[in-house]
Amino acid sequence: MFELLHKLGIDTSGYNGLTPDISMPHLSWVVLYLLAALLMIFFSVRGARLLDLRHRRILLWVLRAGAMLLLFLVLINPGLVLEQREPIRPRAVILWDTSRSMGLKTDPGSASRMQKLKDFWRGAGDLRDALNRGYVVDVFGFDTGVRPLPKSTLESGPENPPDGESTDIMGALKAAAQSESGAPLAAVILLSDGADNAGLGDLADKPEELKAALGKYPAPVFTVGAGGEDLKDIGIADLSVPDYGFIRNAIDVNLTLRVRGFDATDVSVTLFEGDRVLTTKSVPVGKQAETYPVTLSFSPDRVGTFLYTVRIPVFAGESVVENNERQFSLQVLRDKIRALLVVGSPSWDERFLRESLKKDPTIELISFYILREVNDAPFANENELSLIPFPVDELFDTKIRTFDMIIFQNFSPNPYLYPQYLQNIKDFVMDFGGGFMMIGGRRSFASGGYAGTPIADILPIEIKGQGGDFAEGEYKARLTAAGARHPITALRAGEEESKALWDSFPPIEGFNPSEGAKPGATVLLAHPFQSAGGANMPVMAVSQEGRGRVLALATDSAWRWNYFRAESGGGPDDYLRLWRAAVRWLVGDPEGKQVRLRTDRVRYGAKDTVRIRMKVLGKDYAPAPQPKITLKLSGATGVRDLGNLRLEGEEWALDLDNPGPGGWRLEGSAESNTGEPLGNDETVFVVEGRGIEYEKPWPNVKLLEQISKITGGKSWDVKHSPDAKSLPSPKAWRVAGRKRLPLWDNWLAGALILLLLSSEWYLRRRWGLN
Amino acid sequence: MKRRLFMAAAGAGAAALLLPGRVRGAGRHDFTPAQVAYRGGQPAPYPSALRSMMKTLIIRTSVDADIERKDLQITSPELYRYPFLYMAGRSAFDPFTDQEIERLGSFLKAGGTLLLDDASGIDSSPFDTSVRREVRRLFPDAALDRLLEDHTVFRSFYLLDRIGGRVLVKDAVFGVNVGDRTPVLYCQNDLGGAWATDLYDRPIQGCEPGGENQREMAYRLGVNIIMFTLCLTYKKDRIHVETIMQRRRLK
Repeated sequence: MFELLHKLGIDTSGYNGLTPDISMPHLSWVVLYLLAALLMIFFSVRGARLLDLRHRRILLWVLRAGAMLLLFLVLINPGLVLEQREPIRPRAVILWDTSRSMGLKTDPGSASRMQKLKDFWRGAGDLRDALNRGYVVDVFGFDTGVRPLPKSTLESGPENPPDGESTDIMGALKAAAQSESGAPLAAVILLSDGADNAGLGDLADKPEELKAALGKYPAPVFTVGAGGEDLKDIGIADLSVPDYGFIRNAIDVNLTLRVRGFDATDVSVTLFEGDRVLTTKSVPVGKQAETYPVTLSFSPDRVGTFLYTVRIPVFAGESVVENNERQFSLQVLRDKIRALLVVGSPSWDERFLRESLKKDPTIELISFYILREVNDAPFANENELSLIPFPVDELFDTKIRTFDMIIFQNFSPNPYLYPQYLQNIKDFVMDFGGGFMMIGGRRSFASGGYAGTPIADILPIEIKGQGGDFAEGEYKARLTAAGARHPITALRAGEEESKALWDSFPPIEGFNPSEGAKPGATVLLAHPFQSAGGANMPVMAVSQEGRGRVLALATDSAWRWNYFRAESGGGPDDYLRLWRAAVRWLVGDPEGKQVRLRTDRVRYGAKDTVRIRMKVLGKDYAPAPQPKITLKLSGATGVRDLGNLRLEGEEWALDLDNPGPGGWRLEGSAESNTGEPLGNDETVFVVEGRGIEYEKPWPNVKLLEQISKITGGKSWDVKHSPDAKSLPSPKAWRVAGRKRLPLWDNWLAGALILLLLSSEWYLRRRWGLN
Repeated sequence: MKRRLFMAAAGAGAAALLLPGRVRGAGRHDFTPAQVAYRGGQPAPYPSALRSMMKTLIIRTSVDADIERKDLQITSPELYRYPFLYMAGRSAFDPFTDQEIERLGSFLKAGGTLLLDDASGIDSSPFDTSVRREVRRLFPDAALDRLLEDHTVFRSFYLLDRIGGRVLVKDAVFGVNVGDRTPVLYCQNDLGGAWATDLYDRPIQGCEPGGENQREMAYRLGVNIIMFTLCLTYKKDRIHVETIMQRRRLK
């Protein structure tokens, strides 16, 4: 062809390639032309039908069609392109699996999978030479994503330990197929354990689906698989728990046991909170299946955020022990505050309290009223009465810990409660963290016979003696300085405003005298003139007792704070607010805390930053100015102080570098700028250090073999040197320059068209046509 | 479990014997009703009725009630000290003033209760007309309806399926319901006539046609009304419902 062009006088020097070419105009022009040409041919055929002789008709048609065809050729402008072709090296891409599972050992005592592949690579000198000679070689590491590795990797494999959080082989192959240099991809060498967990891993036994997933891959993939089939492992996988649950409501922890290489055995799956066993389940496993779904159910008995651990024993010969334990954190919320109200006698105080608590949709009130006492005579048989037995055993023994708080309102334990029940209530507060409130009356405090009982131990006020020391007469309870700041009695935003409000409250009537507040208790309301030990006697006092909280209200006429205010146009809002605040404080509602600690999430990946936020409020529940904050982090590596929190809006913030895998507890406390303790708080979070890579860490060499087979590559055995001749021959070039030779863009084409049209015109005239 | 319950009951009984008796009838009390002193008509057809009812309440229940009779005008500054008002009469009474209506309305909406008792012994009596007139003024948006049999007032202490009184004008109790509350209750059977006693606690009126059984039902209704006033819907709490349903079947 080049000789012909040369003979035609075309200079082809410097060019060594030739390709045909047309420059097609816009489609609309082509369509327009074709319509016009068909019309022209149609008129020619129509005019020529008057001729008698067939060969004359055909000749006219041919002349017209020929002219139209030549015109079309002019339109599409055919030509030849001369190319200056330079030979280039094709690309070969080496993909190293750098996911975390590559650090695992296939068998106890053997080298890691990564080490096995590196040993293979070092022994594949012929292959490396062939690649260096004939290809442009790119080396990538892949796990969750793909990144280039240094050139030194080409000789000895990756240097850093594998720590990728997942394995995405398809993503790596797609990245390998993309080239910035323009060099075509000729081969991919994939070194992996095949433990893909991004979707491809399940397709090893589904070649058609795998083929569809790979599509028309542009190059053969040569695979080297690490790991044998003799791995033994029992691991926890697919752990699924809700982000939060509700107290005393069952929470399901779903997980899968993945079993490989073990004969029939029972696996004990245990759920812990700290060192406390919450539940355990024995799961029979064997070779009949690879996965065993397990559900562990438990009902949390406390509100807060807690760390939990699911653990299975380590069996002899297990290759991977890291997946025998998983941790998670769970926020336990209160769906409703379960309050037990026990009333010694119906009264207006009880009636207005009940109405208030019933109006609060977040409180589930369980009430028991003593409507008839032992000496009362209703003159009716049992079936004519609506009275029910007082289920003391259930309430104060077997079911006591189903409540968040207990209220005794003008209720004497005699003759209803065993001393053991009173001890149970004390334990409920001290150990369980429940709330307890005693409201006054003739059956309460010392008048109710509580002195010397376990209940007296937890009351914030000191009571002594027995009998009727209930005092009558009206008085106005005084808000103390502590009361003006406390979340229960600080009914207005500022201390002065709260004090003014309490001053406006109507007087109350009836008082349970005491020996005064106990050390550590906080008096919120005080009697205006009754005193003990040099201080005014408490009307309302609170204290922290063990894990729980206690409130004592030494009067039975708090209802007047509601009802009597109505006479002067006052509404019940402050009364409702008082009880709601009291209930929330007693159950340790987080909103009642002055120090509140939180993290932006409860679970983190191994490389995530932990964002810590801490709210520090003063006594007035406004942000405390310049507080002294102490923040500690404790976990598997011990305890360390965290410092340098910065102020962000109204919160103190710290972005903590990832502390590593495991469960972590944050404990924060704060003091005011005058050194007064403001409170403390704690929370937990989990760093998923191992994640999905250890859930299903088994090698999947079969997947690698299938990929090689589908793409036309080969699967090399990690124990033997690869055959370098398997690589495809490098045939590729790039075009350095090109020149176009138009074939129809000259005078000859125009003359030929003119000749055809004029010949047709001449013949038509000669044969008598117009 | 049974042994423990038995021991608890035995212990409770023994402890009860050792306890000093409750002081009732003196000093401050948890429940202190007042009788409305209105203008026109006869505000206290049976002066001893309320005292007798309170005595019954004390004997039969744990409520610490005041047996001293207290007459009170709506305009009294002491009104709010007596959240339970009893208003009885035989004949028509003068309309309340607008100020009284406003004050009584606020009292009832804030949590007070008014028990109306027609002592005339006849249906559509002049007292009944006056009562319905004033209730309409107090609650223009609510009606004085017959209380349904599942109303808590019929199960707040006794399980009631009959209405007592000195006479049986209506086998029903009427009331104005506002949410869970019934701030106004109205009986046309002359409850006060059945409750009233002489100085020796002997009934001063016979009950027709049911006799002493009908009087007992009047006392029981009085107990239930007060219990409902103090305990609201306590007896509709879930824990009570099953027992009450079972006992109603046994009755």
